[in-house]
Amino acid sequence: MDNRWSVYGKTFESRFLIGSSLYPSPQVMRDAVQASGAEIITVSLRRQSPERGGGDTIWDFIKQMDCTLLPNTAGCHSVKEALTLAQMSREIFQTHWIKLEVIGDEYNLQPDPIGTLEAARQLIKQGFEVFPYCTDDLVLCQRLRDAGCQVLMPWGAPIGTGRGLINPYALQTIRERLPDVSLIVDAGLGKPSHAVQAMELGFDAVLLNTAVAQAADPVLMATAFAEAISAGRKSFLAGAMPQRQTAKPSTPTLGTPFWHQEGVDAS
Amino acid sequence: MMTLSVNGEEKILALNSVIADALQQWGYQCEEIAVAVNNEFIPRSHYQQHQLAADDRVDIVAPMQGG
Repeated sequence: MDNRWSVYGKTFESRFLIGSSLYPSPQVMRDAVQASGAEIITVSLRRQSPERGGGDTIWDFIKQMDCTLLPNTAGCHSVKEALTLAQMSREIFQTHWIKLEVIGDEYNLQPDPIGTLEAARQLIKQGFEVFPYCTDDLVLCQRLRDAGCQVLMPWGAPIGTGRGLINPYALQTIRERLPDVSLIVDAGLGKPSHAVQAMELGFDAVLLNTAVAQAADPVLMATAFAEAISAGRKSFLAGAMPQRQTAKPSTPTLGTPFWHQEGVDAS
Repeated sequence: MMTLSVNGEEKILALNSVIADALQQWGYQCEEIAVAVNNEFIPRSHYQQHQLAADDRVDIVAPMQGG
């Protein structure tokens, strides 16, 4: 079975994109990423004091891993902030890829749909290849696709909640209406069963961070998610049976002993 | 001398300093940083030409973990 998938001209074996934040230590982060099999890892930029030498221990570990970098614009609350941070990311990380985050609400970190669309349009004009983190609104996803995004990343649930897919119907509709766009569920997953569900909807990949990093055993959980993503993909390709309202026996009824023999003592 | 903001903290800098001067004075030696002035990205190739002004808001960032 060919499990490869492509985004912006790059082909990958793993359908697991992983974040590099919130791990108990850089060593655990490295081991978890290796256990996940992920080929794409998210990174960010933050203000740096000269005392830190311009570097960061986790960044040193990330550099040593053979992963494709996906820089994000996490923490940006305006189009302007996101554009500027994307430009800074491109210079440092030497990639046109950007995970676009324009947050619209501080309470649930919900992406600003209008700001995200405007920023995506401007970034694409500047030569970026945009991975927009967005809500599960079909029309917004269509507009982002029309703007030139070849991949869309609707949320499963608000970032860090671990609630799983709060609106599977909306995600399924996006998959059905946008069959030619790469779709990644980003944010809100807590358990491997959530990843199975996302992949069974036909999503191309899953991006998560907290569910692995904050697990009691991040390395084991990374393995569990990798296996779940693989199982969910296989399930999608295999095609699940249709649901029924009524029971139907799986064992043949023909030849069942004692059938229609009321009054016979079968004990 | 002039006062400006660097990553939210007040700093003193000689008049007519360019970004390259400021980074050296403030102790930034690593290649892996990027700079924005007043929310505008300044490419590395402009560090020797871009003059800073009083009250400028300078952001200096470096790679970090992210989700």
